[in-house]
Amino acid sequence: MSAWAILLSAAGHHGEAADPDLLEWIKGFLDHAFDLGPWTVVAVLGLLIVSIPVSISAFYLWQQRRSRPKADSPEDRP
Amino acid sequence: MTSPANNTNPGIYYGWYVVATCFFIAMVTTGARGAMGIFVIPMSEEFEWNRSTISIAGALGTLFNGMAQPFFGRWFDRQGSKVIIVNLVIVALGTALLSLTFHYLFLMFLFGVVTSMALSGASLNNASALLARWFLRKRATVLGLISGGASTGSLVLVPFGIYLIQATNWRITWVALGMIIFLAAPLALAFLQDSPAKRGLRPDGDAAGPEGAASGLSSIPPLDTDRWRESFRSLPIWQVSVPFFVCGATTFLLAFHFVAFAQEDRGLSPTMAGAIFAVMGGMNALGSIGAGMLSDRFSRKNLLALVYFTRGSAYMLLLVPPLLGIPFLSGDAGVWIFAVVAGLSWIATNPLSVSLTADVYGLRALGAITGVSFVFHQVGGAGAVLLAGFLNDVTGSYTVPFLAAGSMLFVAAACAFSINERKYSVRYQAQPASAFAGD
Repeated sequence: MSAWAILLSAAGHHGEAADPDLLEWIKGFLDHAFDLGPWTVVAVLGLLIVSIPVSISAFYLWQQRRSRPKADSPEDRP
Repeated sequence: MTSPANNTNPGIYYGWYVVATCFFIAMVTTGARGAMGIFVIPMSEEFEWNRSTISIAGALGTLFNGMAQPFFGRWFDRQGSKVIIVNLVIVALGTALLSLTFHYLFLMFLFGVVTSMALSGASLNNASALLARWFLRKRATVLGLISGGASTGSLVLVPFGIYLIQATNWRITWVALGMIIFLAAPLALAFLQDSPAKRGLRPDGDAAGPEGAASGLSSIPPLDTDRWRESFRSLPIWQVSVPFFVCGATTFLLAFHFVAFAQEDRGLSPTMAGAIFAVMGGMNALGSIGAGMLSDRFSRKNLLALVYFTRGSAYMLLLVPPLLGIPFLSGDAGVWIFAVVAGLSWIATNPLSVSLTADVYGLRALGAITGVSFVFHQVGGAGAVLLAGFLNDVTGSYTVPFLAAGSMLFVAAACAFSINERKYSVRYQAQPASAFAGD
């Protein structure tokens, strides 16, 4: 067992590279379970990833807009 | 549009936007990193490398990432969130540039050194140190959430990469992963703020008032320091770091040797062994978030001790029934139970250890202190994997190293349990004795 292999063994716990054999197994499992084309999986997962920052920004803007009328309400004006 | 950084509108506490941003950063950086494994076969085939060539790049990355954490933590303590943003951009660019790989030295330098060191700057450690400034009462909950984000990243980005390589090629996939990481940069620029004070807010979104009045908590812990060396002259950081060494040893052991153990010692098929390992990984996020939420209600050191005790018990459950000849737990069922219990405890130590460190030593040197603690973790892991391989060669099975690891976990549990949280933690300063149950 090489020292490099030992260092590589951080797999999974802190985001180090996962075992390629395990990844092959995961792909086989997903193929069997969902039977989708590669582009369909890429599109679904890509949309899921992109939707996170978009949702955070949209929620922030929505909150900002929601709270603005309170500040401008007639009671607040001099 | 008002910049998020300058907006002081009421509504949801701004710290939650910081949490959401850190969650996304942890998700994309950890996920893209975990996806390295999917490039091994296509890159090896194109360049006629053997697997160990790419493994060296990965190993160099682990080494540089681990050893750089204290320095990047110290940099974060001085410069704040801009360290995370700058390094995030470097990681994104470095990842995209891996598409231009033409020689293994290029791969080793860019992946093993540049992106790995930059990843230390955009790491979970620094994100945790940032969030500790925004939350006091919900500190471990939010740290558990972003640790869960790191686990989620692998679950999403690894399959994404696998199928993109199948649909296109490895060069386009590196570019796509770089672009995904880059998505986090504008989000970080917009939402990451160094502290609630900079926005006129208080931790947890409490109403303004005298120091500590809103939450009933003092914000300065008894061992508050701005130098990491000073923290290591007191007992609590050793009581956190030594168990963290054991944490590294017992998780690296599973990451490297579990599949071999399941096949060789327990006679499981490679498919079953892989499935069990995948389930273990899937349990990470649940355990991390659950442990974080619980520790904001109960004593952190008791929960940390419980996590180590549970993992130790799981190891014993895996090993002792076959030695005693208990049929049910000696078969597949015993390994599955182990996978679920050990998986739940796998990352749960992280939010508990970091929040406990923040509670005891304050926030001024938190990045550096947790960075040094992380080195303990990595050293424990590397040593355990080496020793387990040696003992497997000598004894012909994994029973001895796995039993040793399980036993060490009970020592770690005792060590964590012995922390005098009531004396040193900020949570117990100016706080009624019964405020946190279970201590």
